[in-house]
Amino acid sequence: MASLQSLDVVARSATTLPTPQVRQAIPQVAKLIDESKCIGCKACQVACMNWNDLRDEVGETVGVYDNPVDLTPSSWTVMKFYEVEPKAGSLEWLIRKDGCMHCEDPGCLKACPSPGAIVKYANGIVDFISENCVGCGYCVKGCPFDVPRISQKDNKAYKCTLCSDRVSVGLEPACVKTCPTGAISFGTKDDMVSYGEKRAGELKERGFQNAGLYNPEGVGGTHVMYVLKHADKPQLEELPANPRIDPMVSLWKGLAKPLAVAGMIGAMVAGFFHYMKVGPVEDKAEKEEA
Amino acid sequence: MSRLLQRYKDGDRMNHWFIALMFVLAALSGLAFFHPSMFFFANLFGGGSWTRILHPFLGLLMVLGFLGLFFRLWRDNLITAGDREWARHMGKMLSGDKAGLPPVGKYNYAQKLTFWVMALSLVVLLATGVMFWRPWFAPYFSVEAMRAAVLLHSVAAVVLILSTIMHVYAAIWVKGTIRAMTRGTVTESWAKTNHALWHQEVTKGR
Amino acid sequence: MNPEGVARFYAVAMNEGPFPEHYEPFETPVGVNLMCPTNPKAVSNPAARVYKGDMEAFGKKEEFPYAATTYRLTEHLHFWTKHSRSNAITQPAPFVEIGEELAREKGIRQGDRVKVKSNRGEVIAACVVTKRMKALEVNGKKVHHVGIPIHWGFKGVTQNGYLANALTPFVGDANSQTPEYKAFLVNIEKA
Repeated sequence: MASLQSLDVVARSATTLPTPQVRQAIPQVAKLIDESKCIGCKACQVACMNWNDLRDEVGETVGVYDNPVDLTPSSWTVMKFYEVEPKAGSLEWLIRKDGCMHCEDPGCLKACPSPGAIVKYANGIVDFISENCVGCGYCVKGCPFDVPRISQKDNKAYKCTLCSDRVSVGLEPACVKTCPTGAISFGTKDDMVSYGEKRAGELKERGFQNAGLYNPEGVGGTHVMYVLKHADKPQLEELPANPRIDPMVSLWKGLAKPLAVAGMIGAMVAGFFHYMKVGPVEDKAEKEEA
Repeated sequence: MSRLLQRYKDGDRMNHWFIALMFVLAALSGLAFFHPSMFFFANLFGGGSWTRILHPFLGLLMVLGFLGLFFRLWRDNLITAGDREWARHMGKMLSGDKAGLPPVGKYNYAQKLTFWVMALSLVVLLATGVMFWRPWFAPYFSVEAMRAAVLLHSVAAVVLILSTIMHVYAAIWVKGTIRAMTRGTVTESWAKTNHALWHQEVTKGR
Repeated sequence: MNPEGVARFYAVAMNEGPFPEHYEPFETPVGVNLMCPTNPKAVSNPAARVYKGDMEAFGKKEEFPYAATTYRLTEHLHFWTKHSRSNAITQPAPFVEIGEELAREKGIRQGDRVKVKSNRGEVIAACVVTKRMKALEVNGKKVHHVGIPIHWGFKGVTQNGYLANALTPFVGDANSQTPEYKAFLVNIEKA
């Protein structure tokens, strides 16, 4: 499905003026992934594949349980397995469902140069509108979590859509519906934050003193959150500890643009007025002859 | 009666206009992605995806074309002591007062600066552009490297566009200059007025 | 509820017994039954069902020093999901798992192709090296184990591979005839 009705879009890539935004009285949604309940069964991977009609190639194994090893244009969520020892001598097998975090301040949207290729709906979901995608890959550079993937077949970017099509008709995302342990939940952002914090509290009582909710502020909070057993060390699971849009991207898409446009137009205008004031340079000899 | 002096051979002129054409196409296709207000330039190339596909090739052709002129003209563009003296009078010259300017060879200081700034910008544009050229080369570079590359690429592009604006304006401002590139010849009085030393060199023994 | 209405002190109508006893699998890495180390007749279940030719095919721990077991993964169901593309994508190719210490001893790195041999056959697969498996100390000696997930075969949309049953011994449980496929001896080397 290409997009929800346009009035629901609150942010649009490469668009300088505000999008139609009156229909904002809808709750922000969020997906909560409770890693303490996840068993790494990959049912969510299969559900996502089936709902979105995606099929990757059957790959090889590189000697890990992660399959595919990383996100691809046809695998919008993958389980990542980490054997770590947060405390010496205490082995933990952390399993994380990787995929788009649906940031409140999406780096992909900020970086995208094609108007309307990336949108954020009023409910918080960040979606790629593929018909407008030009395949430049700027979204890859903007994302603090290394999520979007460009397809070699059609040169377009793809990522988890938070099942925007299902959510738009009142259904939960496919992965949420399928998860056999209830590790993935879906609801309003407020509800998911309070449930996540409650779960973190329960984990703390069970001995995971640093359990917490991963909802990073550097990107304005995210609409996909994790309950982490070791929220003080998200890098154990290859999650950035303090993610934000890279300052180079902010500069490139921020100050550099009006400055450059003003400079270029200014140069042309200055030239015009210079010519009007000073007049052209004429040859001495021709002037004398005249 | 002004004689006509040859300033550029046919090959040089064709080379220059090839670069100019590629520059315009590369600049328009690049600007389409630089600012949303200019995205409509993409329509000239068949839409956003085609613009993204064509832009690197146009840029590459521009750089290759420039190499042709670079190796023929770089010696004439080396900065001399005379240039530094000329630079001191540049302000007055811009306001129309050419008194006190030392005589100039084939290229004056401003032209030489333009040459080197353009050359440097093109090197940066090529090097950084390759780093995020999809689908061919981008997979070989890390995301962090590409972030730096796009920023430098856009800065170099703006610098190149500004220097081209100046370059074109100067050709319009100094009457009799444009024919050097459109016909290959300039009048003797133009040469005496603007490039006296060069005029002496080419009219020696005539 | 038993027909007599009360619990029983010992098992009735079981082929071995009357009391439950620990028996080593027929291919044992230990060599003796630690519950009765001086009784060579009670190392393995004397009432188990073993055919004559299969008895000769058991391997000895000197040649096959590692304990192997077979198990299943969440991504597949027995052998039929190897024909399902969605399942195959999530777990595409046959592998065996060993602990880091055994991997170091054998010079095996994550992803290397390895050959696992028992006295009956061999299996070639990729190797997963994991911290989750550690050697156990049994009877004063270190016993490594090799994990062999089933699920792959010679036909399917998954990568083709050997059936795990190329390795397993033919022993039927004394009462249920369930094969002793989850405890046997293997050796492992880089392929």
